[in-house]
Amino acid sequence: MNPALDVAIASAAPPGTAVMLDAATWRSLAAGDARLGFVGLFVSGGRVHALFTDGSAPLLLATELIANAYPSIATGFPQAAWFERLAFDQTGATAEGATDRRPAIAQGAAGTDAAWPRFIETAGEGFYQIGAGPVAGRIASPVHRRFSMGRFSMGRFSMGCFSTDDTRILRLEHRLGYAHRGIAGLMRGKSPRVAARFAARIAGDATVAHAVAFARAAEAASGAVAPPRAVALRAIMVAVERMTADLAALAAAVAAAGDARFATLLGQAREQSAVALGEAFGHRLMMDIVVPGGLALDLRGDAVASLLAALDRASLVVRAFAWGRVRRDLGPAAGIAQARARSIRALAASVRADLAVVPEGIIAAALPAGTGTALGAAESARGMVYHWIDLLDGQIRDCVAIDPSARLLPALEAGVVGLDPQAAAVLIACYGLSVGAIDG
Amino acid sequence: MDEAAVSSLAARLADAGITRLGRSLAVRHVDAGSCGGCEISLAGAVALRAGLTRYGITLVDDPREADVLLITGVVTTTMADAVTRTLGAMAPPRFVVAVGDCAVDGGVFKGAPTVLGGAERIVPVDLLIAGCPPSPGRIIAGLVALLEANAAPVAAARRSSRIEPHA
Repeated sequence: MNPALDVAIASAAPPGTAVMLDAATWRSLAAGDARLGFVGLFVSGGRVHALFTDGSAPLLLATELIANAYPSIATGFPQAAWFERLAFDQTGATAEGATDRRPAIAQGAAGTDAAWPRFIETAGEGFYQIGAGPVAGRIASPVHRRFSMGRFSMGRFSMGCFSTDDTRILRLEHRLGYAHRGIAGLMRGKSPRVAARFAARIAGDATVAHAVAFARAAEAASGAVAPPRAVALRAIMVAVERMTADLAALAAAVAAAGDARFATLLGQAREQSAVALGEAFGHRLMMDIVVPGGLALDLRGDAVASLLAALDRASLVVRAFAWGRVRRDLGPAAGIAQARARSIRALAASVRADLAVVPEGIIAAALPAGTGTALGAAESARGMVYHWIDLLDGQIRDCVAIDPSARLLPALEAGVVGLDPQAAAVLIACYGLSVGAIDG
Repeated sequence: MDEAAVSSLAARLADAGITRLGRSLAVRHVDAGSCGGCEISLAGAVALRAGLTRYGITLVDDPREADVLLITGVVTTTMADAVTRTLGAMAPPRFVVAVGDCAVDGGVFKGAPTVLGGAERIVPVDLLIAGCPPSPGRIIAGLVALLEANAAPVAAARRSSRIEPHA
């Protein structure tokens, strides 16, 4: 359907290296492509990169910036809009033809908030907005959510008769940047070994996924190979982290739906996993255990039993789920909740099997000072986390972290349309997005 | 929680002439730019069977009913205003607890251009609970210490003037 793009894609070898496109071929991405799943977009080294997945392998496409600008691809891939706004805030590179030019994370000049995202005004009788955050909820998340409320009509004939309780969410907008710590900036100029501490703190609920994706990118760019024992333990750590994050999202969702008892059971199962991980890997969240080249700490053999007990507890709690009631209580979030519950049981089973076949051996290899760019990926409870790294003589010239939260945010914003605030809170909790991972 | 920290805290509170909060604490949490790790510990401290609720410590939505502002995360330039405003909405006596290395002194983000540093950079802090992240047990111990430091004079006063109804 797009011959020039097909030729460029076919030339991609090995997977993960950037495929350079000419300006016209890049421009054709704005028409969209059903085969490509959008992952992220970033500007580095005078080029704009768009990361896609074709279902199995990642595909990194790039083109040169012309006068610090590039054609927007947001019409073909709507999720790219956020990344184009972010790229402008971080590098000043503009997306030509972009319709959404609101700042992503940059605050307005000198204490004013004039440059913050401007909420689209709703006007007229019966329309109003609800603002929540950046200090909202018992355990707060540094983000401001603005709900535009109004009478939600399914068809034009229902407009005539309405009651007070057919007020629904017409639009949800997020104002981000509150958790912006400038992590990529802190990682630049450092060695991958030192920068790993920052990669591990992008998102606490996906610290292993980010650390593994970063380590894989650093290893690929340096020509290092992690030893088999480290590879096997990393896979186990990634799976356990996914399971605990699924438990936390499920607990938050049922808590938002009003089932405090079940939320407590899920929370306790999650806490038991954290305690077991603290015994097994020396850290509740397994933070700083994965380093470029392998692992910093080995699994403690005598703690495996308590880890297995925590996995069993998680499976058991989820199995006790009264799905009929949950489907009714969780409403539109029930599908995601059910997928998370299935995932918890599958991950617990796979970790149990994997723990039995971890090979013996060393846990870390030396990381030579390399030069080059590479991509690394690891699975989190939200989806694939990607890290891209540009090394020069063993120092990070540039690096990019792409958390699924950023591309799931538009899906969440679309998903709450037509719901009441209570159902929206359940859906938001079930998505389990990390604001810190979006803000960086 | 070591006893030295608790007793020094009690002495500090006595010096300040702050009178009792009673036997429960209402805690307002603010994430000033955290990775989410400390929030996992905080959620654990709530979910645990021997958790915060058992000690009469609850998380509340409304800062106006809160006794304690619990700050997690490094204070980013964009969150500083929200943190000081939340404290401003709280009625005295009020206490500020910084939870986690980032809130204690900036942690790994200390000195970064987009952050101010630990919570002490913008608000007076009464109690520091270090760790990256601290375990739920340490958060509970810290808050219980704060509770006991304040409840002690009340308990002593009650004992001296107590009239037993069935005596």
